[in-house]
This record gives sequence, structure tokens and C-alpha cells, in this order.
Amino acid sequence: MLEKGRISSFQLSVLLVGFVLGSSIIITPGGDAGHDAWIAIALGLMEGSLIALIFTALVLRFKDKTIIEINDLVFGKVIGKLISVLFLWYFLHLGALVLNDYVHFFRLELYPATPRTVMLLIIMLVCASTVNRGIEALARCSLILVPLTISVIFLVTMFLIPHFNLNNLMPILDLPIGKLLWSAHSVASFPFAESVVFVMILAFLNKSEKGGRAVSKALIIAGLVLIIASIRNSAVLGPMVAAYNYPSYQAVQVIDIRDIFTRLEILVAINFITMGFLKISVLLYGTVLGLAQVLNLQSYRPIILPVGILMVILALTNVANTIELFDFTHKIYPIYAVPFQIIIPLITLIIAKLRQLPKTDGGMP
Amino acid sequence: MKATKKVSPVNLSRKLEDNLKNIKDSLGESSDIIIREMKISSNANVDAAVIYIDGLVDRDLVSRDILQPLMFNLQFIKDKVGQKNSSLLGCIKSSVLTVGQVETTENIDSIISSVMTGQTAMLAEGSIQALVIDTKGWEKRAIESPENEISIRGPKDSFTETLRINTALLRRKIRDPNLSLVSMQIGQRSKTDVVIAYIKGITPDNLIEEIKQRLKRIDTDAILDIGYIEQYIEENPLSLVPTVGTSERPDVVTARMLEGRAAILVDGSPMALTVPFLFVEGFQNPDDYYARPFFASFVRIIRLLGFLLSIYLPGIYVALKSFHPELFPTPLLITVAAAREGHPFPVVLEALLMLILFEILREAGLRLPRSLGQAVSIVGALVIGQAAVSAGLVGAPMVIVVAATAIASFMVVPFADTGALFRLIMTIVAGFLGLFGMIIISLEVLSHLAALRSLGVPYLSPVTPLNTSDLIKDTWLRAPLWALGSRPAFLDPLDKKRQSPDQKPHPPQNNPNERKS
Amino acid sequence: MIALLLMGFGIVALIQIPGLIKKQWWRELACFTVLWSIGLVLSVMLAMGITLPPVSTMINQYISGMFGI
Repeated sequence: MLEKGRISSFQLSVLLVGFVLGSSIIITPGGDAGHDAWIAIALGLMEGSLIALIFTALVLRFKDKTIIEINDLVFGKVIGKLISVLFLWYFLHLGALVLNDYVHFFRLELYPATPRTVMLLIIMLVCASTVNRGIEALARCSLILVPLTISVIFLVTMFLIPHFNLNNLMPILDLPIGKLLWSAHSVASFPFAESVVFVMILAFLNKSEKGGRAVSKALIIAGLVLIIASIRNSAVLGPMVAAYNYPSYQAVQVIDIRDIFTRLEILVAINFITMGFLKISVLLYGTVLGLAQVLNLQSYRPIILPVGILMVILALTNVANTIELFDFTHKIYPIYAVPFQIIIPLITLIIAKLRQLPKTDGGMP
Repeated sequence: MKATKKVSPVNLSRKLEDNLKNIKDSLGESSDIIIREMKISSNANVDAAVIYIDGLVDRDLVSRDILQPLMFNLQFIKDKVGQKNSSLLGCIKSSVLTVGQVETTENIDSIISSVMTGQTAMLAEGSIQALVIDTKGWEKRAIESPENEISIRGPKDSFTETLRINTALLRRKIRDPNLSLVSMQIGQRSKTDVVIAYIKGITPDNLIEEIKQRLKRIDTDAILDIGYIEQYIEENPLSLVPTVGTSERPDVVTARMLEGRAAILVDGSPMALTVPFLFVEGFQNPDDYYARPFFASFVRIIRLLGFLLSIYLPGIYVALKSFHPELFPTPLLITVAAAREGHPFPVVLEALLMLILFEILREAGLRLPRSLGQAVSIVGALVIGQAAVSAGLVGAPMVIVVAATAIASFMVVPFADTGALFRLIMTIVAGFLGLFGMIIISLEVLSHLAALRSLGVPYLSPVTPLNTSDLIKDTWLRAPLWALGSRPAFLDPLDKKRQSPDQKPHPPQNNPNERKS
Repeated sequence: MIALLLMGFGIVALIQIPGLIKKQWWRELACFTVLWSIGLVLSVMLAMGITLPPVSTMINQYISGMFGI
């Protein structure tokens, strides 16, 4: 096993919450549904949890093995490795997408002058050095960062309560049902089902039987936070909420207490920095660990830097312009992600069940 | 092992002359080596010699308890001793010498090393053994109050440079026979006595084993101070934060030992090491335990805030001024902007200048002779601070920021050096990348701390891995003493209970003084 | 700009390669070198202004084409 660290189920939950909040803190999901976004999130949460059930069941069935090893066992060496490479591509690409979101937000709102490359490299360096320290360091960081983030979210929500206008949430469900369902599904694929990357991490649980509950607890908590944030944004910003790229950021800008507690949206930006760091680190970790397992390396540490650089390059060349980025995220990603999030794990699980793997007598087929 | 000495016999011979010659060869011609030859009369006049180093021995002890009994108890010895001289020394050891610690040896090297540490060797003609008598007594500093760790309510004794006094100070606080001291000698030339102190039954055994291994690994010329030991045994020498705790107070050291840590003391150093050392310990002060809980918790939180302030404040100021002026609260913005009129340097440079100046002042203040101390503080405060502002070189808000930072930086003693470094790094990063950069670097630091371990214990315990009961009881809140029933779990102590559960005090049921009103 | 790039990649190589050689991890060294070279080539191309194929846009078009969105 390339990773000698082990984490507790509590740490896994917290890391998963951080991961899910990662980019959704700033790009509030369900934007297509307008003021019914919170309903879309709730539905997406349900769908996402079902999806999570699939891959969690798959991985926990095999206890200490990551998806790469599981693929080898279920599909045989050749096809297994091909499928694993597909996953690796997904993780790498997703990491690049998150980096895109990251840099786009900061250049837009805070630092228009800083070159994208510089920002990307700095983030990548920190993520790389954290991944270098292993999953335990990552989990422990999340234990400090995530409660902080959630506290900040609650704090600003408290401050915004005076500005709530619940009429903005009415009328409920005036959306064509098709649009709502599509929105719900896109919420499921971003951010909830992106937790499929945890198929690389669930192998390192102290007590693997607690894994399922840890994952569902985390998704529910993250989902609740997002729902509350969504309600808050709609209540404060009104019908324009769908037009904003970054509704949470806009909403918090409204806070102005006696001229001193203004500009609190910087806290939202800080949240994004920390949670984004967690998400990118997890994705980098999954990619690097997975690649090392596919190639049978002795350690994933030497390839962290090159893979990180490739992720940065991918982020730089991903899209020709921003419009395409948003197009991709809203229209294409919910479809593009389905094979990775749902189809492949499901097929793997079915085949594993049919072949009655893992064999309890320890033999490999 | 490594030393290439000329070949000399290992053990004593029966002839006193040969022995003395061999020893004189090894010891050399130093003027403080005293070899006192004498005669002990039993049946035949027996030649004997006493060897010691003047200045390391207690002279009264040597003359009163060694030489005097030998020279005046002739009749007694004559009566006691049979014909065989080999029991002469045995008789002397058991019945004549009135000193506490006496041992026998046949090995010349051990005689020499004992004499070098202040013991007295006694040889007699015809005997292949020698006596080694403990006569250590040199000039030492009295027990004074601690200079660097000041406590308002607590005891005011601190360690001194003599190992035996320090171990005695520990024993005075813990009179449990389970308090064990393991001795070693480290250092080729200094042969410094090093002691590991721990409480058997609380400290896990593998911890002591690990410490012993690390100490045995040390192979160097001299251990001049406990700082040497710290740098040789810490497991993260490149880390910016210490993973080994130090203290000059016996009450702090014993409190830590009672939680399951081990202490290391070194002869010649008035500081003790405690391992394992965790991040939260930097915020714990002995006074927290001697004061009442609400105030103690309050002070702890202030300490944490002060520490964070001292690291981030200059950076935040620089970042806001350079990149995000809109983040200043509006009333403050006008004042701050006005203060910046006509200043030649960019904010980053100003901040760095002031910070480095402060470090210079601090270091110079430590080294100055006392007579100049006052002058320097006046120069520092008035001339540099005030004049620089008036001359327009540095903004007034900057001076305030740096002054507040400077004072706050002393709140957390173990991290004072670390804090100074972080502060500089933060300020530089703030100047180039603003708040974003500061947060990213903070994440890197967090990640580093999260991965750190001190002798196997994760550095950020009990925050992560999370242990809520420890977190509430003794990190940034201090629960009342009667609630601290068990020792912290992260140290994995063998004996988990500290006190019985019903320690909370309450008013007496029947108050004899209560008057019926 | 390209000089900066080369310096950066050089530093990365300097950090990793001596350790790998000392530990005689040839497989890992090979893997590292392959990835490193890909990175080097691509970033030099970027620095020279050659536009690399925008991946997400391609996926965009592909899936749009498939499903007619």
C-alpha cells in the first residue's frame, strides 16, 4: 500500500464536507433554478447520495483497496487499468476545472493584475506540498479549516437575516418541472457526486465499516449548508439571483453594520481559498496516488510535482474563453460526468457482485 | 572507540608507585590535580594516596571525612584488619570513611573519569582495588527566581546548573518513589551527566525507550547546554516550530511529567526539556492552573488572539494598504490615508524596516550591560520611533502596528522566535500577493503543522485528531481543576485517572456558623 | 519568459532526480521524466504563444454534437 496513513471516519467526513463545499461555496449550485435553487439542491442532494451509495458500496466491499486496485480485480489487469486511466483523467480534468474557477474568481473580484499562471502555480505548490505529506496531513488540515468555514457561513448568514425578504422565495416551484429536474441533476453532478474521487481515499479508513455512514453524514451536512446558503442568497438578492455568477459573494456585500463591519465578503473569499485548497489537494492526491498504483510505483511522491504542473497547464489551456467555461459547467458537465460518477462504478459493482468478489478465501480470480 | 590513546594498563597493579605513575601520565601535569600521599599504619606502615581535583571537591569533606579518619584511627584499623592488606580498603570503606557514597573499582579509566567529575580516588600499596569516594562540592549559584518564565502566583524557584540540585527540586514536588531517574553520560570530552526523569506507571515505556535510543545516538565532543541535546534528538530539525518543550521551572516540569511526559535534565544547564511537546502547550502557562478557571480561560484566549495578532497584524496592514484599501472601515481609511502623505517608501519596505529594527533593538537590549539599558530604550522609543515619524520616513500607524505586534509577540514564550520569523514571511508575502498570498502561506504552515509529530504524538492534538474532552478541559479553555479528572489522552498514559471524581467543592451541609435568622 | 520556464523546470528536476537516483528507483525516475518532459514541452509551447487544444471546449462540442444540445 503506497499510503501508510490512516484516517478516522470522522476525519473522512470532515474532509468530504470540505471537498463538497470546495467550489460550491462560491459557485452556488442550482443557479439554473433561480429562486428555487434550494429545492434543486435538496433534490440534487438526494440523487447525489444515491450515487454515493453506489461507489461507497463498491469500495467498502473491497475494504483496503482503492478503485485502481478494485478495477484490476474486477476487470482483469488490462481492462482494469484502462478504466482506471479513465478515472485518472476525470480527476485531473476536474482539478483543472476547479483551478479555472478559482483563478477566474480571484482575477475578477480581487486581483485583476496578477497573471493567472502565478496564481495557479502558488496554489499548486501548496497543494503539492500538502499531498506530499500524505492523507493524514490533509485530513487534519480539513479538521481545522472546515469548522472555521462553516462558522463563518453561519456568522454572515446571521448578519444577513435583517436583510431577508422571504417573498423573494415565492412563488415556490413556478419552474417547469423539466428545468427543475435538470437543475437537480446538475447539482447532483456538481458538487455532490464529485465525491466519487473518495474512492481513492475510503481505502484508508481505520474502520472501514463506518465508511458508508461517514460519507452520507458528510453529504447531508454539506447539503444543508448549501441549502441554507442558497435560501439566504435568494432571500437577500431577490429575483436577480440567477444572474449573478457569484451570488454568495454578492449577498454578503450587503452587510453593513455601522460602517465598520463592511466588506465582509472578504470572508467568503477566504472560505473559497481554504475549501478550494482542500478540493484541489484531494483531486491531486487521487490523481497521483492512482497513477502510482496503475504504474506500480513504489511511492507517489516523486510524481506529485509533474502531475501538478500538468494540471496547471490543463487549467491554462482548458477553454478558449470564459463563456465556454460557463457553458461547459452548466450544460455539458452534468452529462460528461455521468460515466465517471455513475455508470462505471455501477457496472463495476454489478460485475463484482456477479463474480462474487472479493473472494473471502483470499484468492484472486 | 574513537580516541587513540597510548596504550596504558587497564587495571591497577599491586604496586602503589606504578599506579600513581600511570595515573599521573593520564591526568597530566595540571596544577589543580592533588595527589596526597600518606601512610596508614596498621601492622606495617602502608603507603596510600588520595587523588582529587581542587576546586571540584568539597575540601572540608576531604579533610574531615577522609584524611582525618584515616590518620587518626590507626589503632582501630590495626585492630580490625587481619594480616592481608587486600581487605584494608574494604575495612576503610565499611568502617572508617564517614562519607555517604563510596565505591570500589579496579579500572584506571574509571578512576580517572571519576576524579574528573569531582570524586576522590584512594589507592593503597598492595591493593588492586581503589576506592572512589563521592566528594563533589563546587561553587554553585543559589536557587533563584526564574528569569524568563514568570509566574505571579506560583512557586518562584527555578533550576540551577547543578544536576543534583535540579533532580532534588523535582523530588521535592513528587515524593512518589515511582519518579525514576535514568542517568547517562554524553559527550566525549565533556562527559556530561544527563538524566531522563519520568514517573513510572504513567509515562508509556516505549517513550522512554525511544528517548534512550536517541540519546545514545549522540556522539559528539561536548554537550554544553541542553540546547545541544534538543537539537540532536528532535525529529524535525528543519521545522520552524519546536517539537521539544523547555522550561526552567520545576513546577512546570513536574506538572508535565504528571501528564505522561518525560523530562531531560543536563548537568550545567538551568533548563529542562520535556517531550513530547505539542502546539497547544505553547499557550499554557503555570499561572493558568493556579488561578481560577474563568479568568484562566479568558487569559488563554487572549493569549491566542495576541499570538495571531502578532503574526498577522503587520501583514494585514501591508496587504490592505497595498492591495485592498477598500477593506479599511471607512472612518479608519481617511486617517490611514492621511498618514501616508509624502512617504518615500512603499508600505512593505516600511513594515520590514520597522520589524527588523525591532528585532535589532530586542537583541541588542539582551546583550547590553545593564547600565546602558535605559539609554537604549529611550533611544529606541523616542529617537527612532518618534523622530522617524516626524521626519516623515515612516507612517504613524505603522509604528503603532509594529509596537503592538512587538508587545504581543512575547505572550507566547515557546513560539517567540518562530513567531518572529513567520511575521517577517507574512509581511513580505503580503507585500507581493496581498491577502490571498497570506492565506495561502498560512495554509502551507497549517499543513506543515498538521503533519508534524513529536515523538509519535501528532503536533496539533487535541484539535486534530479531535478529542473533544481534552479540547474543552485544557487547551484554550481551562476547566476547573476539580473537573480535570483524567490525563490527556493523546499522551497515552498508563494510568488514566488523576483524581477521584467527586472533587468539586461545595458548601458544607450543616454549616456550624450559620445563625438562625 | 521561456528562460524563466526552463529555470523553473530545472529546479523541479533538481529537487527530485538526485533523490531518485540515490534510491535507485528507476521506474519512478522514468515516470517522472516522462511527465516532466510533457510538462516542459507543453509549457514552452504555451509560452511561445502556440494555442494548445482547449480540452473542455472540445468535450463541449463533442457532447453537444452527440446529444444535439
